[in-house]
Amino acid sequence: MTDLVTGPDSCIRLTCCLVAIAVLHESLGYLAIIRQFRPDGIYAWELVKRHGYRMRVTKYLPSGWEHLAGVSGMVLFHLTRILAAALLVLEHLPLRAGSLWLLVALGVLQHNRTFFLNGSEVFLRVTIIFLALAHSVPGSVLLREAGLWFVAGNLVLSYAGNGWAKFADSSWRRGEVLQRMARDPVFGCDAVNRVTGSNLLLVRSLSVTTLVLQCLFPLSLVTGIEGCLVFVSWALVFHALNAALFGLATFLVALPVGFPALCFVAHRIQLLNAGG
Amino acid sequence: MLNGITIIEGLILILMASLFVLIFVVQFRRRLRHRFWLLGLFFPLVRYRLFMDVRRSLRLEYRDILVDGRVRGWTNVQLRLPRNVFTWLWNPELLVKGPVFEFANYLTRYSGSKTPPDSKVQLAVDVLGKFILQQSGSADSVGREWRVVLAEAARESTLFQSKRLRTGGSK
Repeated sequence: MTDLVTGPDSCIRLTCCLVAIAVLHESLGYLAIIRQFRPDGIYAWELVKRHGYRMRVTKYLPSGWEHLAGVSGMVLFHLTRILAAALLVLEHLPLRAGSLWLLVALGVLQHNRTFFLNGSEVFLRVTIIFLALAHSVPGSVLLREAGLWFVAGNLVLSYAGNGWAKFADSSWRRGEVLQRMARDPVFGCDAVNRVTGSNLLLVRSLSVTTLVLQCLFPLSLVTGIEGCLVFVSWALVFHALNAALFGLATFLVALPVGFPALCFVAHRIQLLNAGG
Repeated sequence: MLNGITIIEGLILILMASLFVLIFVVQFRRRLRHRFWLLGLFFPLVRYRLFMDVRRSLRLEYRDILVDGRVRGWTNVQLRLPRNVFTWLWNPELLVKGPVFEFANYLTRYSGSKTPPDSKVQLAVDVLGKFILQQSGSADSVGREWRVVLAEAARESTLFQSKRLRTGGSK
């Protein structure tokens, strides 16, 4: 099992498979809600959320390629993405590199769209760019290793950056954000609100745990593969809870893409420490 | 040290490093700046235009029907959640917010009392009882009137329940 993440080739293949799953999840999700797009391809989900699924659109300013492509263009776009994701699972290196570059190109197309990408989408796109660069010279093991290092660095940065930003925010330190989130008409629900509203100790401890583990996430690189696994399991639980309680499902699929690379780098650093 | 690295590899490594630095810078710059503050300084309506999701045109209209009788496209659209078997893949919170929390609420509602509810009548009596307890705290006449009415209702419910229990639950 540990060989899967300690060897660069197997690790990068595992990462590619996870990227394929994440891309499939995202694109199939878009195809599943295709009815929520206007005929000219404008995404109406924000309005849907705000108006409680009973909405009326009078005029909407289109800005993005969806306006040119329309819904049929979007379907084509996501089918191409799904095809690229399916090719990503193969062991054939040039084919994998080609599908990665195709995904990069599609990501660039999608970047100029009506709504901003969320954190998990940005993370997935950056990871795909790193992986494509790592595959650009088929014979080079060095580049593949470097790609894994950069993917791990990006993962650590995305956790730690968010953790430090939260630490600077006093409402996060006091634990008010969770209560606010539970009260939110979009993300929260009555039951969670009732629990968080009455149980201040629980809310504060959850907030502090989130803060501490996100801020200290860079330690996962230097605590060896065991420490790394602790951080990874915490992150999985964290994302599963976020998905189940607040509906942030994309993070649960997108962020684990970086976990094999993180374990790989942690193992390498452990070996370097043991050797030095 | 760099003997084993070809020029292409070196260039790609530099590209990766610059991308990483770019992400690092963007990550922290994004936290510090206000969104579109420079644009908003010179064009104050830009922010309003960008973040308004519903914009009405200046054309004359009433309930999305123009004065010349044309109905504008994509109006009065009733959207629904996608109903497929894989919905939980993208909306996992529906699993928790729906049946799980309903059941948890059902369990925790009677966590204080020793006897579990056996019927909807018990539920009604319990809810009414709680309401009466809340109302009895208030001293105004409206509160007192409500208290009387609800006490009656609760008594009726209890009578009904006892009758129902006596007959063994049959009609």
